[in-house]
Amino acid sequence: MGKLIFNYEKCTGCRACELACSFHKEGVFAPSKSRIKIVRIDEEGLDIPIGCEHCDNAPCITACPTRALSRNSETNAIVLNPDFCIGCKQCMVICPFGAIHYNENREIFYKCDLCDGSPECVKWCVTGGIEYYEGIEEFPRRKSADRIQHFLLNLPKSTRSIATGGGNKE
Amino acid sequence: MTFDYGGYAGKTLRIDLTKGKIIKETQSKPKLEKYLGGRGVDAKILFDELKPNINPLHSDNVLCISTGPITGLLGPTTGRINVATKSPLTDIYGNSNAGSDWGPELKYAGYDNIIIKGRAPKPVYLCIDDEHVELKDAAHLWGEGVFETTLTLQEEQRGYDTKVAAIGPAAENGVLFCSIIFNLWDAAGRTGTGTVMASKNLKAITVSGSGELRVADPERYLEIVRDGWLGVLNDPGFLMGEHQALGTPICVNWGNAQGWLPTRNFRESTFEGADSISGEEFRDKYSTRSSPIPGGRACMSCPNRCKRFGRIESGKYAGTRGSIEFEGIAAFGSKCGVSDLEAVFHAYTLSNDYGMDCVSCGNAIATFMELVEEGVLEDIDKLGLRFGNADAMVEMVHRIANKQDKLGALGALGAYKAALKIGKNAVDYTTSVKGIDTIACDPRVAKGFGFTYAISSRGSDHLRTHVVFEMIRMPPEIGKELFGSEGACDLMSYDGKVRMVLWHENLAAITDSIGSCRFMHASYYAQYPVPELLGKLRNKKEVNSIKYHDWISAATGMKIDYKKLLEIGNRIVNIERALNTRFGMRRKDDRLPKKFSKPIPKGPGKGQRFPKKQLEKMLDEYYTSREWDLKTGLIKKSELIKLDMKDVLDDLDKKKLVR
Amino acid sequence: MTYVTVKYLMVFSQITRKRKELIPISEGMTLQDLMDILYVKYGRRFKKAFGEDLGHRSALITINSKVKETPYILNPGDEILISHIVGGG
Ligand code: SF4
Ligand code: SF4
Ligand code: SF4
Repeated sequence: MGKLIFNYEKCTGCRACELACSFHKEGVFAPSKSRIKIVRIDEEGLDIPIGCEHCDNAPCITACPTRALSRNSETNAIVLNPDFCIGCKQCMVICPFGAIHYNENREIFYKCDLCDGSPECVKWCVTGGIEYYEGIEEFPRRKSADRIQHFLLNLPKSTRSIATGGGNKE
Repeated sequence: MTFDYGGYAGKTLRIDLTKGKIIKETQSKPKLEKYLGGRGVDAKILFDELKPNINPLHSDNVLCISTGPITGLLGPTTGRINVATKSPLTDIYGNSNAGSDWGPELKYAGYDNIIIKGRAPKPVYLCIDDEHVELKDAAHLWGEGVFETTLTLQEEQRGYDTKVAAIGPAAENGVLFCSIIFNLWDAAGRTGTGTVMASKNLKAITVSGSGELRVADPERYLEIVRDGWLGVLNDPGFLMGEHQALGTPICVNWGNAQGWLPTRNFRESTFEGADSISGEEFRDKYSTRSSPIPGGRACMSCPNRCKRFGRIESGKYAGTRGSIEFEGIAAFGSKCGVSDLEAVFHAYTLSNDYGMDCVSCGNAIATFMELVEEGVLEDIDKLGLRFGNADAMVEMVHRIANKQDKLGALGALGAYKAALKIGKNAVDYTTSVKGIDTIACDPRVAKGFGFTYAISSRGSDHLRTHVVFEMIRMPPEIGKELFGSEGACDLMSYDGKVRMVLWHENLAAITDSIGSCRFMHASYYAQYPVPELLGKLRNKKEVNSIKYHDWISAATGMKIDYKKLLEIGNRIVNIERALNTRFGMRRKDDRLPKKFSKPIPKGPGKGQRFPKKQLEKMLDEYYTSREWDLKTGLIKKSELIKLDMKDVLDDLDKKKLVR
Repeated sequence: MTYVTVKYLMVFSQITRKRKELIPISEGMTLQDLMDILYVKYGRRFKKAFGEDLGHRSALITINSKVKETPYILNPGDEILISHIVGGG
């Protein structure tokens, strides 16, 4: 059960992920052909990665009349099978994240397929702007537990001793 | 592939603004083989097409904007863009470099570079949308600031997917040191490129591209950039977070600790208020990200993220926001003796919005402050121009941009030309080399930087070499191995510095020409052969490194090895020298301002100077290595033949400009 | 009680969440003793940031703007600066 986590707080807008994706999938460097997109909002200094969320209740699957879209049970990815695709563009319209793209030259539709469980974009993201988690059910809980643990471990010494009744105020 | 060499988009856009004509040309292969792209190709175009004696603001001046072969590809930094023209500030070769992702977008639209000539009859902007290239009316934008212009054009076009290069009202007013500002925060700042653009009635250039770039050898390409990428990620400087921590403003406190932070127009080199204008202060008070360490912003495909975005929430300057950088902080901060970061940040953003170079603007103000304090200049407009007066500093930014009143009009000339106009001994208080003022590092302490200021082709400037090598406690063995002396690793030593400068200068010419960022090989030292040497020293078995030669080869399909790489760098330095020769630059112009022969009064650099004699000695060594004539500084014929620059030689020979 | 001032630059100020602080010292305390206190106080991330394996780019500790020979015995009022080595921008 894999999922990409987009973390705009960490993204620097370097767009390496876009280039890695388009190169991996299409053999060219072209953000327009990337499955992931970075929205660079220069006026606010914000960079927001947007891509397929591989939704549980995926509207694209519902919208597709030919079942060209389906979930890969191994990777959790929602994949598009071009052989079944009739080009009706319903999925493109309905996806809230604009994650389904159209290649005019080759007249095919494409979307993120999580690179069969080894996402290329993540390999090039040095900041954690995109992360890949295989066990999505565990992810949020484990991470907050980690944070609390980290917080407690890093509490200044004196505070800890106050908690146990000692206290070493200067 | 439409073009024989990979990496390139393959086309040049030629714009004749006078006639409103737009021509798409195929790139010349031999030119690319010799000069790669970016800074190299731009210099060659200027050499071939620019009449040397014209007034830089004449419509005949040529404005070149160029990317390089790796711009827009995946790799350790591929976002830089080069701008070149004849500078109105210095009247010699003018050139500046900017980041962001404007350059890549130009290539996705299908063009490597733009050559702009003439003057539009009325204000226009250039709109590039893949193959649709058009000059459009800019009446509604004329007079507007860079922010307004950029945001309006984005709204009118494809929103955030439209990348905008714009000039501000200061450029329209003819302030001599204006910048072209890419995507709001990235300035091709120095030497007045924006002023030239304004003189052509060209307000902005917008690009959006949906095309693709191919490389000659995809498999090898990926291997090589992965190697380079890991080279950066494993560089000790990167691991300790040199730029990730605070961006370039990290240098404020550090420069102060090392004693090279220019203070009060270079009177001193330590600033008592450094901490309050530091990168740490910026992070703690104004950073808009809750996690500043992983945050920051980056140019295209850059793991380094040296830019910091912040915002002032309350107080007098509430609403000020933007991306901040070390040079600007030093220019308005320590150089003006101002320790109020909000005023500095505000002045910085103002000059960005006006479209002025913050370094030259800050330097002009600092120089005026000193002149007033020394009684050489009268504070005619009663601003209270004194070091440390933040309000006067901010007011001056407005006045310079609008050329308002006497001091504003003077300031608009830049420190050097203003000093000439003031007369008396005013020039002795400037820090200019070849007409452009000095950036934020005291050359009396950092000797390699100092030497760079003297020789750099666009005048006082560190980025021609960026010899951080001397600052970072490199193991002496490496200095010895690479530059023949352990002194190269010692900030205040002169030993080995000329060879160090040569290597850095050649490589910086390469990065500027391919569209990459010099921080990767000179800040971090991820470029071959430094990681290899470091690895050997520490018995590391596996070493990753950037190899520009392999990188360019795999991208383009040219065959370039390390030796040839340095030769191309050398050629680019020489074409710029040839240009400058035509503009009248000789050995006498490779100098340091008088100011720097006086000792530093206090701090870690106390007593340090850069004596003229020492400079002459270093120049001798440098000219000998470059094969330039010792007496005049003209290039020797033999060198031009060796570098396969026969056409340049013939031209210079006609005018007796070679030895 | 006598104190020394410790200043944290760059990533160190990020980890300690302060830019400087006063630390009480006792008679005969060395720089190393002080560092041991700080390592405990600020934990693993702080210690790691010194980057002992980074060679020339490891952290620099200066006392009153000078690098001192170890072992150095602290004097009241000393200013200790903990930073990294960086270059130009
Ligand atoms: S690679 Fe990471 S940091 Fe860079 S743009 Fe993509 S998500 Fe953001
Ligand atoms: S997981 Fe693969 S397909 Fe999806 S965005 Fe990343 S690189 Fe592209
Ligand atoms: S280091 Fe800074 S200037 Fe260089 S490419 Fe990266 S973000 Fe841009």
